[in-house]
This record gives sequence, C-alpha cells and structure tokens, in this order.
Amino acid sequence: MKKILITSFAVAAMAIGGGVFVRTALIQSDPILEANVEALSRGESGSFGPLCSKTDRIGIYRMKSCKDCDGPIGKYAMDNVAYCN
Amino acid sequence: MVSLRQILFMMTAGMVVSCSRDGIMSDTPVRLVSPDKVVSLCSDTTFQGIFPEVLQCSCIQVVNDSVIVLQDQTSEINPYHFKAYSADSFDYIGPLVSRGRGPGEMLSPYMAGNDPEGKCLCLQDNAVGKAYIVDVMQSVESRKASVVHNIDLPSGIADWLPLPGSKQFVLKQEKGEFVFQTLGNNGYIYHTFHPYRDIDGERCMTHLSSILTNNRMTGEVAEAMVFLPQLNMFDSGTGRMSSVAVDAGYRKWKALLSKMINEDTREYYTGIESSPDYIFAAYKGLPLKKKREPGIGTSIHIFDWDGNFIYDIKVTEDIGDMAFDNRTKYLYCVDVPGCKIVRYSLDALL
Repeated sequence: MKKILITSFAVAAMAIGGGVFVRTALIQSDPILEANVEALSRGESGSFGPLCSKTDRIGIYRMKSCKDCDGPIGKYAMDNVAYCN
Repeated sequence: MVSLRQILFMMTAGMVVSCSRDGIMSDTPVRLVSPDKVVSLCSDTTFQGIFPEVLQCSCIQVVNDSVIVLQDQTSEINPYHFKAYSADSFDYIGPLVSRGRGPGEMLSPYMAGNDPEGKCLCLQDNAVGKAYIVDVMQSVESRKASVVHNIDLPSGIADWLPLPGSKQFVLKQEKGEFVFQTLGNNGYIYHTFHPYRDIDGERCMTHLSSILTNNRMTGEVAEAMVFLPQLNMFDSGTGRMSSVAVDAGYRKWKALLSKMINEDTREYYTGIESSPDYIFAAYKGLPLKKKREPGIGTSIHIFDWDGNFIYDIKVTEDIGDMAFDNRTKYLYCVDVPGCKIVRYSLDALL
C-alpha cells in the first residue's frame, strides 16, 4: 500500500512538473518572434516548429518560408517569424 | 515483479549515461578553448563603406580578389539579388542576377562562398534545388546570371558548399536526421558525418542553425553554431570530425532543444569566413532581445584549422556576415544596424 501511495505521488508530481514545463514554454512565446502558439499546441507528438519566416529576408537562421511550409529549408533573418501549421 | 527501488536505479543509471555526453555532437568530444590573445581593433576609418545602391545588405563576398559582391533584398523597384563593386576603388560595377524564373534569373539564391579556384561566386537556390557557379563580371555585362557550372542538389538539402576536386559538401535531412555528406559530382557519397545522430532534424532545424565555410585548399569545412558557443570542423577527405567551444554554455544543448527559441535564447556565432590558414567567426554570446540594442559590439574569433583559438578581437560594430580579402588581409564585414560595410586590417596580426 505504501509503495502504491509513493508511486502515485511520484506520477502526480511528474504530471504537475510536465504541466509547469508546457506553461513555461507557452509563456516564453515572445513578441519578437510572434510565435504561433496555436500551431504549437496542435503539433504532433507534442513537438514545436518548424519556424518559418514571414518576411523572407535573408539571414543566418535555418527556417522555411511561411508561404511555402512544404517547401525547402532556407536561410532567413529572425525578425518576423511564425511556426508552420 | 520490478520493485520501485529497481525502477529508481534504472532511471538514475539512464540519467548518468545520458549526462556523460557533455556536447551536442555524437561520438565527438568538445574541447573548451581560450584565446591566446585578446585585442581591441578599430575599423579602418579610411574606408567609407557606404554603397548607396544596396538598400538592405545581408551578405558579402570577395570574388577573385578583385570584386566585392553584396547581397541585397529584392523588391519591385530593385529586381537584382546582388551588386558588384571594385575591391580596389569601390566603384560600382553593376547589378547581377535578377529575381525570376526566366533564363539567367533566380528565385531566392544566397551566397555560398567562392568556387575552389576563387574566381567565381557560388550560389545556392533551395527553392529550385540547384546550386550555381557564376562568373560575376560576365553576369554584370550580360545582365543575366552567367552560369559556369550548374549543379542539381539532392532532395532535402539545407546547405551546400563546393569543395576542391569537383566535390561538394552538403547538409541534408536524411530519415529525419541532419547529416553532412561529401559528395562527388556524380552523386557518389565519399563520407557521411552524423554529428547530430539522435536529434530529430525537423524539430531542431532552427535550433541547430549554423554557418558554414570551406577551406578552398584542403577541403576542410568549419561550422559555426548560432545557438551554441561551438565551432565544429569536418575533414571532407578523411571523414574526421572535431569540435571546440569557447564557453561552457555548449553543455546546455539539451535545454536549448527543449525550449522554443525566444528572446532569452542566446545567439552566439553570427558570421563566418575563412582563408587557407584561418577561420574568422563573428561572436555575440548575447540573448536575442539584446540584438537591437545599440553599441553591443562583436568579438571576432580567429582559429587555425586545427581549432586553436588564436585571437579574440573586440570591435565596437555589430557584425554579421564577413569576407576576407587574402590579397590585402582586410576583413570586410556587414555592420548590421546601418547596413554599412566596415573593414579591419588584419595584416599586423596574421
């Protein structure tokens, strides 16, 4: 009985920890990146990304163009980006 | 039945095993290095660095020791991707490669250095899966891209560099993983490098952003990582990988991968260039939110091709892309905020 209680407590603690982690990640979606949180929450297997560029301005970050999320990876500036749905 | 004690033991053992690799690269230890010398350097004030034909400069390349090529942002009134200038007088030579799908036009090219002979400009256009080796002067004269060599890129290519001996170095997604490959022009694979073997490529595409440069003489390639303070080197001849870090933050790669990129994410390397003897890398080491603050300055790290950290050069400008003129030993840099070009004389240092 004691072991079951300990195991249940551990599982509950892990679930709360996971929830806090997800909440922290969502809060960190900053204005500079204009992250599409809706797209994040819909991501398969809980993943996020890929990031995409709205302006298509050349830069150093590997991203996709938001106009062509099925298209190739390019190199864009991190100035007005979102996540591909 | 497995007891709770056994489960805890296995979890602890798993954590110990996973923590034993301190750097992001699989099977390659990271060497933490410090500079031999730290110096401050002022930009060359005799160089004006204003190129009025370029409205939004993003990349720079010195071609054939005689021409400076700047990449511009195209628009309806500016259809040309690149503008060429004399490396001696800085006079405007003309524009080259207009945006489009027609003959001699390109959709979204970006510069991938010089060809191994140093005479032509290399361009990669992922939108159409091609790379081009272009004669700059002929392209300016004809107003169309004068393509010396046209290369079909394999699918899934993220980055491409030409190598000596008609070889190529590519970064591609293969079965969900980012791998580097040394290819022959016939598609023959000489080497496949797996630096990020157990990291899902699609998810980490932006997190593992990096900038590549190649040694035109030896075929070695250096990769400066944008979100880790780390420089990785690939010997395309032997298949050997090595890695150095300039800050202990390289160990935080798991934390980097577990979070979305946000304004607190640290940006490290923002530009890279090389000569046959040295690697030059522009280093920030600051959160992204500091990017727009004036006067943040840059450190220009100079390594040799063995990964020895020779100089940490402090400059006051906000440096992005760089191009080294091996003839004059000037390092030309894009000063990002003002879209200005500055240059530093490295003659006394190298």
